[in-house]
Amino acid sequence: MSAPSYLRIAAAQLRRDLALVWARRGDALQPVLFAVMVASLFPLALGAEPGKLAPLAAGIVWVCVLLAGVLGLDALYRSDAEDGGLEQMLLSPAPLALLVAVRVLVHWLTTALPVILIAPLLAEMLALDRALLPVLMISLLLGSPLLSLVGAVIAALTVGLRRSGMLLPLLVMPLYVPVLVFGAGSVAAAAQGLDHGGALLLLAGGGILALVFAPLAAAAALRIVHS
Amino acid sequence: MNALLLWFHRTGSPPHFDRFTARWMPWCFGLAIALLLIGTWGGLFMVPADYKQGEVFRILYIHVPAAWSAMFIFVAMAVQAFIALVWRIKACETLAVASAPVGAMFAAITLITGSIWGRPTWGTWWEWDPRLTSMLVMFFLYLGVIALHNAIEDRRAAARAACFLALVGVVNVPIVHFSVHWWNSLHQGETIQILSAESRMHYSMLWPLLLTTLATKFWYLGSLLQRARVLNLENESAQPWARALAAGSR
Amino acid sequence: MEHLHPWFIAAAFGVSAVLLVADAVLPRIKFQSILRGILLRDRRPSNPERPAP
Repeated sequence: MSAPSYLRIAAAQLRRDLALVWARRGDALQPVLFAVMVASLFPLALGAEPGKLAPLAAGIVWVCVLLAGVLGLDALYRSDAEDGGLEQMLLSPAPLALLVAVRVLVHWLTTALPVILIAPLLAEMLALDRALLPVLMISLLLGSPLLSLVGAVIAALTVGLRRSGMLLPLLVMPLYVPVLVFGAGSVAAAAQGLDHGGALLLLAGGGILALVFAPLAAAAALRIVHS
Repeated sequence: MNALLLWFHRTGSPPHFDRFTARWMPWCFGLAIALLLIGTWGGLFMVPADYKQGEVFRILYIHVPAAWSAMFIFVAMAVQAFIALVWRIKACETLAVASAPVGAMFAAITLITGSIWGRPTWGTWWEWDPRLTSMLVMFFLYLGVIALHNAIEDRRAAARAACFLALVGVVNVPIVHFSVHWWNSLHQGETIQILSAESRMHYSMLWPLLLTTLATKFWYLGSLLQRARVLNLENESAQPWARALAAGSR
Repeated sequence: MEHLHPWFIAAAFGVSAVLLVADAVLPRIKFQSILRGILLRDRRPSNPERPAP
C-alpha cells in the first residue's frame, strides 16, 4: 500500500487546522479587536489632531499588525504540544517542513490577514493620507508573511515551555526590526515622494527566502528541542 | 594531525575540560588586565587631546574595543553554534552558550560608554544611528540567547536551542544594520557621522587602542573558559570526577 | 561642558570596570555554589547513591 502523497497529507493538515480554528472562531476575532484597540490608544495618548497623527499613521498600523501576529505565535504549536499532536507531526512520513508551512499559512490566514483587511479602517482612524493607503496595504501583504514565517521558527524553539510568558515576543522582536523598518519605511518614503519600490522589493525578496527556508528552519528547531 | 585530533577528543571530555579551563583562565585574565591597564593609561594620560572633541574622545579607548568585541564574539558564538549543531560536538555547545553573557557584557559597555560619550559631544544621551541601533539589537539578541538557555529545563535541548537562536541572530545582525542605515537616510536626510574619531586618528594615538583591543580579546578568552568551566560542572555534577572535585575543594 | 569632561570619562571607564569585574567574579561565585551543592547532596545520609545519568 503506497503512502499517501505529501500533498494529500498537507491538505488534510490544512483542513484539520482550519476546522480547529472554526471551532474556536470567537477567538479568531481577537487579533482584529486587539489591533483596533491598540490603534485607538494612540489618538487617546497623543491627541487627535490629524496633522499630528497622519505622519505616524502608517507606522502605528504596522506595529498593530506586528503585535497582533506576535500574540498569536504562542498558540502556533501549543495545542499540538499539549495533546501529543507534535509527536505525530515529528513522526509523520510527510516532510515536517511542509506541515509547518501549512501551520504557518493557517496562522497568517487567521491572525495577519483579518488585521490587514481592516487596515484601511485603522488608517482612517489615524488620519492616514488616503493616497498612501495602497502602499501601506502592499507593504503589509508583502511583510506579514515574513512575520509569520520568522515567528514560526522562534516559536518552534519555545514550544512546550510552560511559563514562557513574554519570552517568545522578546526573542522575536529583534528579528522583526528589519521587516518593520522596510514595511513602514516604504510608506514613509512614498510620503516624502521618494522611491518606495526598493523597500517593497526587499520585503518581497525576503518573503520568498523565508518561504523557502523558514519551514525548514522551524522543522529543524522542532527536532532540536524535541529529540 | 592525529595528535591534534587526540588532543581535541581528550580536552572535550568533561574532567579534562575542567582542568584545561582552570589552567588557562588565570593567564588569559592576567594578560587581559595588564594590557587593559597599560592601554587605558596610555589613552588617558599619554595621548594628546583631540582638536575637535577635547578630552572626552578618550572614551573611545574603551568604547571601540568593546564594540569590536561584541561583534566578534557574536560571530565566534555563531561559529561555535554551527559546529555544535552540525557535528554534534557537546564542547562547542558549551562554548557557544558561555560566549553569550560575555558578548552581552561588551555590548552593554558599548552602549553605555557610547551614550556617555554622546552626551557632551552631540548633546543627547541616545542617537538612533545605524551603529548604535544595530548594537542595541545585538544586545537584545544576546539576551535572547541567554534567556532561552535559562528557560528550557532539559540542559542539552537548552544548549542546542540557544545555539540555533545564535545562528538565526547572526544572520539577522547584518540585515538589521543595513535596514537601519536605509531608515536613517530616509528620516534624517544625511547620515550622522558620529563616533568616527578612530577613522581620522593619527597613528601616534593608535597604540593604546591596539592594546585595549587585544585586552578585550584575551578577556573574552578568559571569561569564556571560566563560564565554560561552570557550565561543564553544572551539566556533569553527578559524575564521580565532579564529586571528587567538590570533596577536594573543602 | 568642557570642565565636566573628566567626569564623563571617569563615568565611562568606571561603568566599564564594574561590568568587567562582574563578568569575572559572578561565574566564580556560581562555580563555588555548584561545588557546595554537590557536597551537600552527597553528604545527605538519607540520599541513596544516585546512578550516573
